[in-house]
Amino acid sequence: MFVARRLVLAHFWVAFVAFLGAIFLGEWQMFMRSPLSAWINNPEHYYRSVTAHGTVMAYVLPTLVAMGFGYAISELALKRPLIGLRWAWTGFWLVIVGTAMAAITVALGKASVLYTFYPPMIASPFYYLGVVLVVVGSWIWVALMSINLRAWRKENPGATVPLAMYGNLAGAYLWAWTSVGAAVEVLVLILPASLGLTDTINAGLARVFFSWTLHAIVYFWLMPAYIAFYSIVPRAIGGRLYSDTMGRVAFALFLVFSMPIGIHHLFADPQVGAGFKFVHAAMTAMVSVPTLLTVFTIVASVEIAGRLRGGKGMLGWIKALPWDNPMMLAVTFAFIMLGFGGAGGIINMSYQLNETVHNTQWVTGHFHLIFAGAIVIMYFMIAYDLWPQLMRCGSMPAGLMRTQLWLWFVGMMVLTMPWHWVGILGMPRRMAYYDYSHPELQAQAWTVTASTLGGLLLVISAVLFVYILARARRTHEAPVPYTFSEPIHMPARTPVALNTFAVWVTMMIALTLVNYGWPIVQLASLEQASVPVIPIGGR
Amino acid sequence: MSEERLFSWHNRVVKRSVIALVALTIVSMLIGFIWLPPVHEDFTLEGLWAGICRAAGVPANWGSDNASQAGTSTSVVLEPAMARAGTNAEIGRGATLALNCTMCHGAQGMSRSDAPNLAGQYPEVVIKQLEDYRSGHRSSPIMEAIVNGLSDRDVRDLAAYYAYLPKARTAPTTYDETLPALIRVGDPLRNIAPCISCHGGVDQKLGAPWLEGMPKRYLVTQLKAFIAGTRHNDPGAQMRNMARAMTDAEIDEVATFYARKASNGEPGRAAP
Amino acid sequence: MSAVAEAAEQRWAIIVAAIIAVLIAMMVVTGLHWAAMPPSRVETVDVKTLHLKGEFVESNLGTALESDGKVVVRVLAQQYSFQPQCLVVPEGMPVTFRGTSSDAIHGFSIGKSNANTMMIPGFVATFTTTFRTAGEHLMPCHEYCGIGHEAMWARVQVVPQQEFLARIGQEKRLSCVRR
Repeated sequence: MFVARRLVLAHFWVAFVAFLGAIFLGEWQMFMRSPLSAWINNPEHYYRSVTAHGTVMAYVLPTLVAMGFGYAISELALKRPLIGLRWAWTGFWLVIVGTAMAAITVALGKASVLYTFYPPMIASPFYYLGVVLVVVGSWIWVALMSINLRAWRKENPGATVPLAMYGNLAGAYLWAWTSVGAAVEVLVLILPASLGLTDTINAGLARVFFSWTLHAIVYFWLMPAYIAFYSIVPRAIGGRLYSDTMGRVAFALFLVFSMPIGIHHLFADPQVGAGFKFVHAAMTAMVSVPTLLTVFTIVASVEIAGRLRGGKGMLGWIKALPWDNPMMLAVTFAFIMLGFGGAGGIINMSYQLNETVHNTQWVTGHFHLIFAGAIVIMYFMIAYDLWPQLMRCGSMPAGLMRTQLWLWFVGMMVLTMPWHWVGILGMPRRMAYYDYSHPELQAQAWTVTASTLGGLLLVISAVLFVYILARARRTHEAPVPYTFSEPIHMPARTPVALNTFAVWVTMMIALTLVNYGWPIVQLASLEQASVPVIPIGGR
Repeated sequence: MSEERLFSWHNRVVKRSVIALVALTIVSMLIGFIWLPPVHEDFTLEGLWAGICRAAGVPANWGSDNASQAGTSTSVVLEPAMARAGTNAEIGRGATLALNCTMCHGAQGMSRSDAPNLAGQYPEVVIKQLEDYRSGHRSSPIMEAIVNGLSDRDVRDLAAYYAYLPKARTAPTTYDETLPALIRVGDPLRNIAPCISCHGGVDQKLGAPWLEGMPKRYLVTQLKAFIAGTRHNDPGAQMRNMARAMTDAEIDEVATFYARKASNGEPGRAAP
Repeated sequence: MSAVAEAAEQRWAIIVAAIIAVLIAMMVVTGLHWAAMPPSRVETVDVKTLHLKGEFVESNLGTALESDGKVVVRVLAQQYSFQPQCLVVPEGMPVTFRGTSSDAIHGFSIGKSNANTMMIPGFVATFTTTFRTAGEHLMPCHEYCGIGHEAMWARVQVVPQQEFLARIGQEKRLSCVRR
């Protein structure tokens, strides 16, 4: 069994080694701009590091985790060998080559434009090409997931697709359409400028295209975590999934609503009209629906575990939960961080409140709490949970895992809460240093120190995580067969709409066209919106 | 079960989802385009349709175009094309024209006076400064007299010639040498950006000259002229804003650093 | 069992719907009651000729008292300063900001106030706000705009109305840049 074993391992190892490197950069950035350190010798080094940290954490890590986890799900849930193994390796190597190309360009200081690109500043074409290769590699994964599901359907006509695979495909289709925005931005607008074919660029339009990707990419990051919530957590803590259908509804809703809402990143931008800003704000409220459904279903599933373990009464089931089980700890931490992060997100997305926090440290705090907190902690659990299958290493060390998870949780809270706080006070983000001698900044200095300490805990946790994975040794016993969560009652039949994707993908594309079509067409037609490019670096 | 048709109005899930999505879209459009905007006077001035267009992001003009055209800093529009290297013909013609400049700027563009070195200077820099002398945006009795007779082509050829000459500096500035703080990191709360973020070393902005090896007296004079506002041909007060908060000691330190990088034998004269 | 589950799910669905409705209602009510919306005037400008003609020529930047009595601050963002570097605005009067960028993407926020906008080259960013208390604020560029980004800080002085009106009477364009 498991022809994709080495493939999945390769994806995970590259993802987590890159992650380990990038987290050191992140902590170094915090330290350099904290009052603990003198100002950096060369501010460009700081932005170089931000570019590398962002590129790895936002593009490389989640893409590789989603791909590796996706291949594993395809085999384990569909119970058939992966079709297209060779193509999958091709996709993997494209991602590796792309990552290396982007990383080298960034390391040479030829691409300090941050992972959000920021045209009209223009970096070396190799940086953008590297990112494009990463995305193209991931498109191969999308195609393979679709092909594998189709083959399974042919063998099992009319059967209900396992929930994990349903979520996996939802993530794949979501990503395919999400990445189109940035792909168009890079291929049509940025690369021609970077290659010197044109010396102007429509910066406002580029931002709109990027917003298409930038918000929905968050849901691509999040998909593996949600799949884990539904299909791993209940089983791992000895419970049952409360509702299989609810999971499908949540995944379908993510497909529909995660794309056409990105303009809420552009509330403070002068190139988008108020009408579209409101429509995107309202739809952003809608995208919290699948998360609220998930919270309900997973809490209910956890309650089932508590009751199965003999918990009684209103709250007695909480005490009966397996608190020494790392998965229990992780899902609790994830939900706490998701709760705080989600509350912050509601402020970001609201049409008016955004003004108080736009582009301040608050935003950094928000997405670290959601992504690096709630989501990445589930990436850890996915790796821990699959490791015995991948390494045939027997059981994982629960004590070390708990320590690692605690460190990550505490570190993330200590890192992000001060950011939220100074964000409200107006501290700008992405600055190589602050002059703390000014009384206003002096008062905020402690928060940067606090975040640096939080970051230190995260670094320790990340090292521990990689150590736990690396120390796993092959044993002679065969791994326990892998299972996904069982629903407490499987509905007699799943509505065909929730067993397929056509309706949701159609809605996703239609809604994107409605919400983005006009702003894109109209911005593209504005002559004055094309502005001179600014190549960065020496001459 | 496979008989259940997906794209069919009889499919309950699909029907409800489509209706809900269309309703949501229409309602949020109505709120965003029709209901909310009129509360703001920006959207009511020219009627409902204009309001909807504005909410959709169609550009309109809200500014009063009351600006006087006087008081512009320069009439030059910097274009990337100005930075290209000249052709041999242009360089040759420029060399002939440059004979007129040797008195102050030296035989090979290496100044022996307090005039700036021009050898190897970026072409768009020379073009811009010559244009500014021509249009009176930068003043110097000598330069104004000299540029008076120059045509547009002359200006371009001179720039091509000087850009072609080997750079009059020992070495470009890099961040890893010992640099004065202002050159390296600036001073944020006085809004002084690091010199190396525009003048080479880390980044090089179009229109910004490289400075190494310039006569110290020239650099000091120019910085002080920016502060006093007697030199004001930097669009948006880009250099005046940087220089304004610099102290005399800082000006001296920065100018000394750059002047020391004069290339072999050729004096950045005041350099010790 | 399945009926109990369905009832619980339905109750939760109603709660979710209510949460979403409240969120959207909040935006609508704030929008109607305070006429609050994100800065949303869309207006283009030719970035290459900003310094040659139109309202962003150097002599026109700073704070103006328009003929209709409105206070308008015109500000230009560039690598790596705002022009003017120091703005003067009155306390307790609506102030309209009009800004644009002559090169990269910039943005600014003012101290602890809610004044906050992006500045995209090719577009004029406009918003109106009122400063409640006198005092000096920092005004950092809040969008990465290049290597000198960390040094791009301006200041805003909020002065009492009387003082503001007296000073603006003497000058066409007010700023607190040292001369």
